[in-house]
Amino acid sequence: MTASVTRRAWLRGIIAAAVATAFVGPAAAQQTLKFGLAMPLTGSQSSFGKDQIKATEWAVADINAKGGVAGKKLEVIVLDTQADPTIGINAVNRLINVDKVPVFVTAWSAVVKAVAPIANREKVLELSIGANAPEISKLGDYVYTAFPLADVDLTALATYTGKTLGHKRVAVLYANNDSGVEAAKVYRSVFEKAGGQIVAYETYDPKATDFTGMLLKVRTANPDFIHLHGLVADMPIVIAQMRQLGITQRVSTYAGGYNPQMIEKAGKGAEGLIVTSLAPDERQNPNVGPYIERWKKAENRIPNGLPYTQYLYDAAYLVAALYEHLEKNKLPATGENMRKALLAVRTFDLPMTGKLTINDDHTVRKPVNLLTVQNGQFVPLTTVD
Amino acid sequence: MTAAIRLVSVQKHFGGISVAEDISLEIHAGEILGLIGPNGAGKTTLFNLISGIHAPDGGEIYLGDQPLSRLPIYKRARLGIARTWQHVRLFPTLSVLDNLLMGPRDYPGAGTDERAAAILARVGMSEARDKMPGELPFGQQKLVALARTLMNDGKVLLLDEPMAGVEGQVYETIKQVVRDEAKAGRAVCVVEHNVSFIRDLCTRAVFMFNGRIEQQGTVEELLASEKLAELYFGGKKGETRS
Amino acid sequence: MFELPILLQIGWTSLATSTYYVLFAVAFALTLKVAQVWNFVQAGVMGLAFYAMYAAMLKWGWPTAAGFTFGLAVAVAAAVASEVWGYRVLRRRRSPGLLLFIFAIVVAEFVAYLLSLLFGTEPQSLKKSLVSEVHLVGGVAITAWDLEALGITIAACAALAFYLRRTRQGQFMQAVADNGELAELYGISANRAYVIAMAIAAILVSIGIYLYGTRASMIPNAPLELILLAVIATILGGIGSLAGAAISAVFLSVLQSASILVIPSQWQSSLTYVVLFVVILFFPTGFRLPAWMAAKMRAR
Repeated sequence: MTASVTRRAWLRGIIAAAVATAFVGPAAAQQTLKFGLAMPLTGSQSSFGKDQIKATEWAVADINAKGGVAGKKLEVIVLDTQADPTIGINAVNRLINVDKVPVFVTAWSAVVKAVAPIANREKVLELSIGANAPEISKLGDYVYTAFPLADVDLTALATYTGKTLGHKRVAVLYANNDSGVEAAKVYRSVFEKAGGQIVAYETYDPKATDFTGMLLKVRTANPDFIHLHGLVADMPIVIAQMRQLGITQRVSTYAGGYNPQMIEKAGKGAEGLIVTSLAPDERQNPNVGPYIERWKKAENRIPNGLPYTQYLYDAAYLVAALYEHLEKNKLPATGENMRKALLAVRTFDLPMTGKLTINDDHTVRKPVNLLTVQNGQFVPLTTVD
Repeated sequence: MTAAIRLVSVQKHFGGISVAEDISLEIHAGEILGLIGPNGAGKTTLFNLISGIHAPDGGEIYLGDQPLSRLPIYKRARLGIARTWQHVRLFPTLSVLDNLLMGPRDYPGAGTDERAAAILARVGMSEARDKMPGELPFGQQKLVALARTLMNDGKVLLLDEPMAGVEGQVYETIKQVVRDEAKAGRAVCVVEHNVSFIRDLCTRAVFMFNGRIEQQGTVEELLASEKLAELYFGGKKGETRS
Repeated sequence: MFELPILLQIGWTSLATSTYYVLFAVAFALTLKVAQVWNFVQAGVMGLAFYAMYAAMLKWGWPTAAGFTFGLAVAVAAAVASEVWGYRVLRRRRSPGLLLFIFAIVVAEFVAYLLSLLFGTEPQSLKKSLVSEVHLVGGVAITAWDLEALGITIAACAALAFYLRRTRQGQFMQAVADNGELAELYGISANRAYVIAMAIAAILVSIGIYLYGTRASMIPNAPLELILLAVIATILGGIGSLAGAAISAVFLSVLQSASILVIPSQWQSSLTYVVLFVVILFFPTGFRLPAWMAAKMRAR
């Protein structure tokens, strides 16, 4: 008798729980405001991707802790891209068709470009945050960047090199990928327009292990200065081999090089390296200091690619602002309306990166910080507006 | 006294073909057993079964009291089973001396240069010690192969057509060495078509045909047998083919 | 671009970086020669050796010598295991060569996958900083790494040559390589020779991967690509010739580096595959002069 009683009690309990979930489930789901985040969780870029994802997740938690958006909770759906275009396409397709997000955030130029046709076709807002290939501003109606593209920091860098440092002959080295090819073109056009001369313009395979041939071409060109554009995975090796071949000229690179790993791997070879940063530092923005402390407490380190994580933190606030506009105007959460909201709101005041204004030509502009490596540390050099 | 090599009801077939059927024979220490029969009779297969290249499908092979079935080829060689081949098998990339030094026997002093030199002298090949086998004429290669078996001075010596393609001084040397080995107590088994050699050296003989032992006995008995003449020579007794 | 200082620099640096390729190629050629297997498990051994050294040196903070020895031990254990529990079992069952080949590739891929789960797919090096001392000799930059790599590789190859030619077990291995069955009939254990060949290959590979990891960075899939050059060098050098494999490895490394002078860098990595096709189609038995050329040279 006892056995069947227990079994019936179990059965009743399970049915009750199922019914409860059925009632509560969809209702709860209706309450969240969703957006997608397609980033490298695995793969060679995962150390940056994971930290950027974490920053966004923290921001979502912070927003929800303060009551969410118009009483509803913000929800981020994270999918892996491995920074690979094919996998990125699968991820975005899932976000749009299965998770039905009206807006998603993604990064890494190759992925941003690969998924742009999907965003345009399905009329879902694609926010590129972190990628910097200049054509991102021309990828279609539904693709916007909330991060300054290469021309912004490279213009600042090229101008500083030519005008302030007074170098007239520069060698450009770039990795043979979407980001490198475009960025090198931008740097060359800016530097030449300012009256300088590009004495060597060499590309390299970022997966190679030996750059001797290419570096020798640079050595023979005898530049005053060298500009490098690659990834943190390959740039320190290029610099190390540069120094090993007796090439002692100073090197500059874009915001991707503002990373302690550059100094660690290239050692003394990194001395004098000039990098850009597109996010304000702790002196320029009071929120940044506590943000860094939060990282140290939670993860015992500073994040990989600190400035990028600042932008990804603000990404959640940007999306929250878009949803707030929709809620206020009682508009349904579709990609079309998200886009309209972006253009309607236009200017956003974001906690970690300050004011952001979306231009009609799909670009954004920000002040550029220049830093250099001195005695194994990054120290601020100047700021260009 | 236990025979040096004893086969008891050994069977072997490849696919549907039986190459060894119910083979029982013994090779005793100090004797030279002749193994005769037409090509394809299964004589070389028998040697392969003893060496361990093939495993019998039935029956057992003993080295003295020790069953050989579980032992891998190299262990049997180390226990003292040495053999030669009709087409000499030496290592082409090793010198004559190195060929002799290959193959460890399990006692100290077995693989020394001095011993190898002495054995080369015994077969009259001392001058060839640093040559490559490919540089030597066929007969001399056979002497080197024989010397190799002397390095493996175990209990058993299996010679597969030692006289094929050989004549004159080489013939005499081989004959003398084989006799001396038997006298020294080795069990020697020789596969041969050369009837005079068999008459000269062998005390006993075994006649094989189609994988079976048709007759065992003294050489004279076998050579006098009519049945053997028919099967082997395909003709009347008295006609020989060498 | 073809000036002397540049050619000298490319020549020197490519010679120095050929060192690890030489070690990988000789290891691969050795196991092919002795055990007659296309030992792609070597790629797995390379990965295991590297990540064992990486864990010891960079995660647990062990000194270099201890870390290297640990990596070496792991590599040898893995290689011996693959022979005793893998190849030997398949050989005993008289499995066709293709099955051994498939087994090797599956093991290599699985190890790469396992390593990516354990260590992630970010590039790692064995040294925190990849910069070593540089000396300019007649306009050619010679680094401490270059000299170390060359010294270590030459010593390793000399040790191997001595072992194979002068020691008894080394000669047994030559015999087994020539004719396994005949060697057994002479009383030499072929299985023992196979195990020793695998172990020696693991040692060479550990040295090679250490050199590679102190100059460049590694991801779990890298060994699968590195071993390709070893395969090409083995074929080009003539199967069965360790010296041929070594020389071919140097040649291929110099070719790869020198190619920058004539082709754009984005095509450099595909050069390896082009060379592989050329070698398989035109030099499958190793590099030999065409008959008419050889006759002419003899006539001189």
